[in-house]
Amino acid sequence: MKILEVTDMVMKFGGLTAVDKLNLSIDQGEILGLIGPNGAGKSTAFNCIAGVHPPTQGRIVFNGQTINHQKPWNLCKKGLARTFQIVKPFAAKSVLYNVMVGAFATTDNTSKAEDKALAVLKTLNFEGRKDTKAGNLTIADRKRLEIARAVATEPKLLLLDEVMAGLRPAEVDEMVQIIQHLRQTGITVFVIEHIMRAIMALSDRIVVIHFGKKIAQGTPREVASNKNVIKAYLGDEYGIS
Amino acid sequence: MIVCPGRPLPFRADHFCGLETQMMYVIEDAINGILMGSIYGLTALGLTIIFGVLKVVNFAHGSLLMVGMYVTFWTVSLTGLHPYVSLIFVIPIMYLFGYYLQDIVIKPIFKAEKNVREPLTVIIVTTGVWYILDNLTLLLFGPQYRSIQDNLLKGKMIEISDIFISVPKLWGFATAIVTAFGVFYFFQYTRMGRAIRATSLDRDAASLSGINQYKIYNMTFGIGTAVAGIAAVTLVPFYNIFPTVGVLFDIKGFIIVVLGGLGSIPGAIIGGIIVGLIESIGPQFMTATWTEGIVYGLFLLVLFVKPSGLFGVKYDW
Amino acid sequence: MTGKEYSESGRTMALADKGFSHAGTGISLEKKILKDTMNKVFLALVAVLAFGLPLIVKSPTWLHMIILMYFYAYLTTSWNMVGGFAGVLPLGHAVFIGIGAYTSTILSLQYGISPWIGMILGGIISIFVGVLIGLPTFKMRGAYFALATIAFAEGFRVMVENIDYLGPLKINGPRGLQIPPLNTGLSNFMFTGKEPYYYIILIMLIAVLAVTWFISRSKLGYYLNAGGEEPEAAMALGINVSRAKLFAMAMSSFLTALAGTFYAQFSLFIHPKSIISLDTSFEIAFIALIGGRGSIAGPVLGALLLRPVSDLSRIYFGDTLPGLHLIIYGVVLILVMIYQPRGIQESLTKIYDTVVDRLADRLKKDGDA
Repeated sequence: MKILEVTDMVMKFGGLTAVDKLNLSIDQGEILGLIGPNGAGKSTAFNCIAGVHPPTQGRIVFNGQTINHQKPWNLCKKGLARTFQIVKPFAAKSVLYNVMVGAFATTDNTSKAEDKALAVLKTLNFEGRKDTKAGNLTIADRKRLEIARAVATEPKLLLLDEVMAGLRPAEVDEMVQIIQHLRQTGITVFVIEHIMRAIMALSDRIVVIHFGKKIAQGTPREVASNKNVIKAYLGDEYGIS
Repeated sequence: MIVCPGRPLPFRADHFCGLETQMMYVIEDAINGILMGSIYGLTALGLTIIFGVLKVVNFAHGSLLMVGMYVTFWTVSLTGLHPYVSLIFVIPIMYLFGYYLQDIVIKPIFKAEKNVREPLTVIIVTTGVWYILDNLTLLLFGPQYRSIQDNLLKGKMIEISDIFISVPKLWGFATAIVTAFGVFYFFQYTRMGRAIRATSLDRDAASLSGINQYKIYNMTFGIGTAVAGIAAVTLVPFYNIFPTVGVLFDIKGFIIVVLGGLGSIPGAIIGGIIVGLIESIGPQFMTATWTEGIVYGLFLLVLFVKPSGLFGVKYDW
Repeated sequence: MTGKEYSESGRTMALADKGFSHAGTGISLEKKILKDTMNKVFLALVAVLAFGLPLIVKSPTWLHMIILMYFYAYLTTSWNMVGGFAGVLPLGHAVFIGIGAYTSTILSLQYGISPWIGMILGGIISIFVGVLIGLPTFKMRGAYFALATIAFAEGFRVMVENIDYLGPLKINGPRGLQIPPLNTGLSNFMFTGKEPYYYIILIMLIAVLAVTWFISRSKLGYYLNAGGEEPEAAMALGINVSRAKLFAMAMSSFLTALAGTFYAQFSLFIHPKSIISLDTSFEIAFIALIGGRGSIAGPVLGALLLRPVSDLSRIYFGDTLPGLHLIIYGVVLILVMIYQPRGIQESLTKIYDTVVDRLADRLKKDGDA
């Protein structure tokens, strides 16, 4: 079952076309990777899907519903959660507080929200830091908090925007494990990432975009040997023709 | 024959008037309204400059205007100079005052809130400055109204085909236009002005080019305050000076910059003229205080319908 | 401690089930419970003092001052719901005081309706006005909201100052409305002595503090906080930030209007320059900010500390140094914003915590011995 279907999505900002007729779909339970050189339009696509701004053209269907013009908070309630490339923790508050904000998406009761938040922290191995002020966390922990918060909203589809950026290799490995674990709990994951070995290890399929257009898609192996992809990343002189 | 209501000017007594004369009164009001409006625009010009660069609404602006008026007043009283000549003193004094006000009081807040998109605390602090300045002036100089007597401009009128135009306001109009062009030229064509604009657009990028952003802020605040000083000079010849004179200009200033667009130089002048026109023509048809109400209403209307104003740049809300 | 034996592990387990984990916090469970009890005792003492005050302080002048102090504490706490929790800067809150005061006064003077009912009606009208102001402006930058509140407040004041009659309702413009002190009694919200007013405002203050406390622990509190700090993240987590802010604004407007009625019934004279003035709006905001917006104790502490300063400076220096109290407000405000942006409640709370901590250590030591 396709949990997300993007058809012919176009996003224009004034004269600039950031996303050009993008087509992709995600099956439930899949981990789909989105890669492409800097400025390719990945985050813009995410923002369209996540309701930050509606696409100029095209259709986005989530769980059978067209969501082009839905606001982020409604999408969250429908089961679509996202993280931000530049993390936005509620810095003055504790980790637990942060995650509780997410947990409130499914309950009105404070102590239930606390329970849910603690459970999420447990699955992410993050309990120990629950009382630490978010502003005092390391970058790796902040990224983990960002994910924990989103997961606490009990999403069906989770959009992760470059959660590995700035992490050390050991931390990257840990993050990969966390994301795989999330998929095991039933969450479909859509990941933007730059760190190749992470995305190769994680994704069931990968979509590659460049200048807002999809230039390749397939399994990690297929994509890695795709000559268009290599050209896009390394430049024309490396293209194997 | 219809009797016209007595004109507020002392030398035009009630007399019979027909439609033609009423039209003339309206034109006269309109012209004086435009002149006064340009002065309003001048007072708002400093506010819009500061906002355009620092992205901060300076709530102390009216008080700075008040300070400028007192400085002008004392300069003229002590030296007997023509008010406009006192600009030589007023401009540098006001520039330095604004520069150091920003440096000492506001910069620490900027530094503390570096990553906050819009530092609300700065608004709070400038409000504090407003209160301090107004009440300190009250304390030091007392609440009495002051004005410059026997100066060359006060109360003078020139007559053009039966229409009386206030001379000090005419001077004010000329000053406003000259200042607006001067400021515009400065920001468009001089190196310093361009550096300031660069900082306003993207402070991180600007600082990478070697521009010290805090110095830029200080300078901009100084410039904005100096412009307020110029506005003060135009007002002194005909406006009463007292400690809370700034409050009204403060509020009108906000209205004008929102109308014209925060950060826009022509917007400030044109917004001022609009307010001036409403204020002068309004009382023909309703009481003066209802006119005040109209100005507030217009402000709220603009805020709700087109918050970026007539010429404003659309900021990311 | 005989007779109070319970197994430490049993207690820990029971509390852990409730998520009351204290692992890694470095404080023993016993000490935490002790401190909680001490806090409760402290609050109880404060309550006893507050309720017993009129028995000790008999002078009407002092009572009057204290009543106004509570009045401002109430206003700043209500303000805090929008200004603190919602993260915006309302600078025209006096407009709601005016709406409350005028509504109840007109209704009671002209139609004989009890001020209590007028109070509620004034509150309801204020909700509409508050939401009206907030609806378009909450989506904009904070400065625009602040300006809009000022414009509304001043526009309202100008209007009231210029209308004598609004249809059948007598407003009396700048001359204001006077309430003749006839018909005393609770149902008429009219008393001869100051004591009843004291208790009423005290109860109102406690009520509003309780409401604030509940909200801060509720979903709305979390949502307001999140929306104020990181609106984009909050929206992605399911929070309709504007709607939460509007809700807070509605509550704040309602509660502030109630205070307007209180003021009308207390001072028996209302006119635009006194209650709908920009000075009042700013004073409320200043006190809340200095005390510490966003916290529960902050606004109250601010009022308790600043109002006496302002009153005393007005009494002793009013003639020689007019406006001194406002200068003091301004200077304190700037200093607090630079050095302690979360307000003086931050240091005061730290001091209080240290004292309680030391005391708890002492008691525990004595208890164990």
